[in-house]
Amino acid sequence: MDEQVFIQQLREGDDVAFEKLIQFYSSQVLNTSVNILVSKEDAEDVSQEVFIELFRSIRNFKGDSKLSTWIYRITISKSLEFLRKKNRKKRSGFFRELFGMDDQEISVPADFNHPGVVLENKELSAILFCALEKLPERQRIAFLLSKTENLSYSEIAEVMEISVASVESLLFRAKQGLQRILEKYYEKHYK
Amino acid sequence: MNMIRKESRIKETMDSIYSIEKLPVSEELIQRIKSVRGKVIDFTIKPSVRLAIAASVAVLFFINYYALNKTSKGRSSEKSIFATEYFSYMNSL
Repeated sequence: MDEQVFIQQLREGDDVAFEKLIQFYSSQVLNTSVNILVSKEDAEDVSQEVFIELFRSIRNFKGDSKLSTWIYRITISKSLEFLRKKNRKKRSGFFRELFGMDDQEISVPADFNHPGVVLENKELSAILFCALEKLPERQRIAFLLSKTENLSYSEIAEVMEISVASVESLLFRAKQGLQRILEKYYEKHYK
Repeated sequence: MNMIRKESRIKETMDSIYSIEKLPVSEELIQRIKSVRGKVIDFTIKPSVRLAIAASVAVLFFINYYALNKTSKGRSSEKSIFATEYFSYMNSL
């Protein structure tokens, strides 16, 4: 179906079109959220929020980007909002900063449970996701969109509303940052 | 941990991102999302409806204006008849 026709049907409140929206995009929304939030329950809550926003805002969607791009933006925004609210409740970040504790040090929680991770990779994925948490937000998002959503540089640039050169820079810095964090981790834990 | 092993371990860790599987969307989540669709009330009013409402308000306004106008003219002429009759005794004075 032509995307513009589909968008018009959504704007008109066509119920069949909304059913299709849920069918086509719920997986994208859920899996993008899971990789940011690392929790199936949180990701499901955020997915619901994303669709509420989609239902409310579809009339204002100008169609100047692809529907999937717009949905990625809302998903990332809602996921990061959820994460910020959750992290505000944690006081440890403030004290770590106050006492000059190394913010690049990672401690892998025993209860790490990314639902998409197979058992044999659980330890490595836990370390990686903890390292990802230490990266600046934009680097983390660019990295996840590239590696888990398999978006091209130009698609990432559209989602994040930046240039392709900026995406390349973010990914380069993300990789370097992860390398540094993981080196420190393995030096400390695997002497 | 020697350098080569460390580098190898780091690479394995970075590559573990590729082994993450997509989660299937549960039927329960689909139903939750569908139930939200019914609850989100769309406050946007279509232009044709807005025009109809504006036209109705305008018509009501003019009907009321006309009625009030006519009533108040009627009342003022009634008042002048009443006043004339009330003070008519003075004509004989």
